[in-house]
Amino acid sequence: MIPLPHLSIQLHNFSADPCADWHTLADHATAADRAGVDRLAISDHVVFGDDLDDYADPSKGGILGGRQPTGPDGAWLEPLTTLSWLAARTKRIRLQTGILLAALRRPIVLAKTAATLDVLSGGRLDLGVGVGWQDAEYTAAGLNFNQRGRLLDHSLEVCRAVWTTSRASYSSKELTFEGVHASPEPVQEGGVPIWVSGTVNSRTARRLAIFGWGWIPWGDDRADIVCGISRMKSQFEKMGLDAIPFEVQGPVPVVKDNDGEIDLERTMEGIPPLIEAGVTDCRVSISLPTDPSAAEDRLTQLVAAFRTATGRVVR
Amino acid sequence: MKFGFFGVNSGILADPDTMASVAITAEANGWESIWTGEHIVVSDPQRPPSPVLPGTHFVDQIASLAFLAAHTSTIRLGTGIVILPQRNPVVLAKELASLDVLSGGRLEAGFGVGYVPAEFEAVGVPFSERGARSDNHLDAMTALWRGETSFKGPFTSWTGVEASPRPIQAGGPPIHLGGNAPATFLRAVRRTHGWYGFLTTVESTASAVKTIRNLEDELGRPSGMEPVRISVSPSEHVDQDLINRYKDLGVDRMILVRDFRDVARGPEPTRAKAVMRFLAETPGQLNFN
Repeated sequence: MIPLPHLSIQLHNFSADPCADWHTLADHATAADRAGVDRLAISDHVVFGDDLDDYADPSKGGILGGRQPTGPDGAWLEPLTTLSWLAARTKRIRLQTGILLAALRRPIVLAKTAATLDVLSGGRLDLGVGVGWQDAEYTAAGLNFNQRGRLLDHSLEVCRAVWTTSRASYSSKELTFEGVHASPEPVQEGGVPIWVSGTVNSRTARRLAIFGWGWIPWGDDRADIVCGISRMKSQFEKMGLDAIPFEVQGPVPVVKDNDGEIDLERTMEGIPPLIEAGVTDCRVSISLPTDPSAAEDRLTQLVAAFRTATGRVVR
Repeated sequence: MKFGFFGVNSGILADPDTMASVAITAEANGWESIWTGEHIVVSDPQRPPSPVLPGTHFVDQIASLAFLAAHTSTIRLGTGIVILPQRNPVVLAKELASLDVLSGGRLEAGFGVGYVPAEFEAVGVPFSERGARSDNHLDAMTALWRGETSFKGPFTSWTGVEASPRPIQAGGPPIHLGGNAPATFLRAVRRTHGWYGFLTTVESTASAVKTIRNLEDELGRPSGMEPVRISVSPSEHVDQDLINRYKDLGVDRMILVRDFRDVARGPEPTRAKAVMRFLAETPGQLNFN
């Protein structure tokens, strides 16, 4: 296990150009791995409808003022396929879906794919899951957007059943099976760690209590993570849930210098209060140069600053 | 004749280091393609018609081939086969398009309709709908890959939907349909680029090819599609004479299985060494080029 707190970055498995070239994605993953970044994340869209306005509608799961980074013709690589490709190019960095629209996959197919990606990566997968915001994706997949929460829970139940017993059985109103193997099982004990995404509400809290290794806050709770964590704790108390210790991803406020570049020193000053509040995975938004060695230099500086700021020993 | 190797993601080979070595060795020695197989789940105890022992390892095919794409640069990467009705077609279309893009257009997409009821039970798809769902899914994926924004099928429909990136190979990767049922031959002639016969004999292949060619004469082919290409994994011992006999039938690609015991059970790096030798020695013995 990599000691806490962790430093993580998001890489672009998407592009506004539908014919994008993906060498930069591979180069940045390799650079992050070599520089000592603890975790990289990539996201998911299976299809786009022609109207992306719901991304800014919190009632659908969007963020107020939010804007998709691409139009409907934007290219998004499938994240589990892409992480498999990146697993071959990296040695130690953890690989996270941030997030995967898990309910769109057939549950047992998802369980198989994630378990085996954990095997291919030598136990480096973190499965971040969420319900998304886009009705069109559920409709195209033949699923009901209004059922998205239950669909996600169902998928996670099946994953857990298959990952934690070698001869698995499962029964719910959606699906029943008995006595099946899906070998190989995940490398990580207890299965692939599941990170639940969502704002503070009873559904996210319940899902987190049952399945969550970590929480990926969203919306206002992400924007003000210190308050967000305290709100989630209250939500747990209100529901009588055990305050299990779970990991929390939190965005580090990036301070820029006069040239518009990240000011590492001042940015790092924002980290201790996050850790104090319970953040374990510090997500830094950093734009990287296309040149692989320049990207690695930038990330090496970031890692050094992060370790100094957090007192984490350099391995 | 093109030569492929079957079974890179299962049994004794199913650990990442071995899989990577297999792919690199195959590419270095002139193999045209490597192929994966799948059973999403396996019944315990084994129940006919499943051929698979409980506990046999199958690494997810698309994840495997994406992983191996990064370890290689020219060898083609085949799914042999994905059981189509067990997948969600929009997700599968996205996964395969991503794999095609990340591999630089090296994907060969093999599909089948499936034949093990217990596996469908666990996946949650009615076994009786496997044929109809396969047709729906083939048409749905092709629509997405061609950039058609509307689709209406019995199992999935949409309007105003896009999915980029599209596969690098124009119109999508070559599709090979596995199976021996009359409906399979019909489906191949109507919808796919190729047919993939598994554990064939020369005789069974002759009969399959005859059926396919007759259907082509009778029904024609979709516009722009060439005659159905034939790939086989023979059950016979492969030597020069056998290759010639398959060649005479118009077989385009032979996808070899070294030993069926290789694809059972779990990783065994020591036994895997025999597979590496097979991959290194066979091209010379069989005059691949």
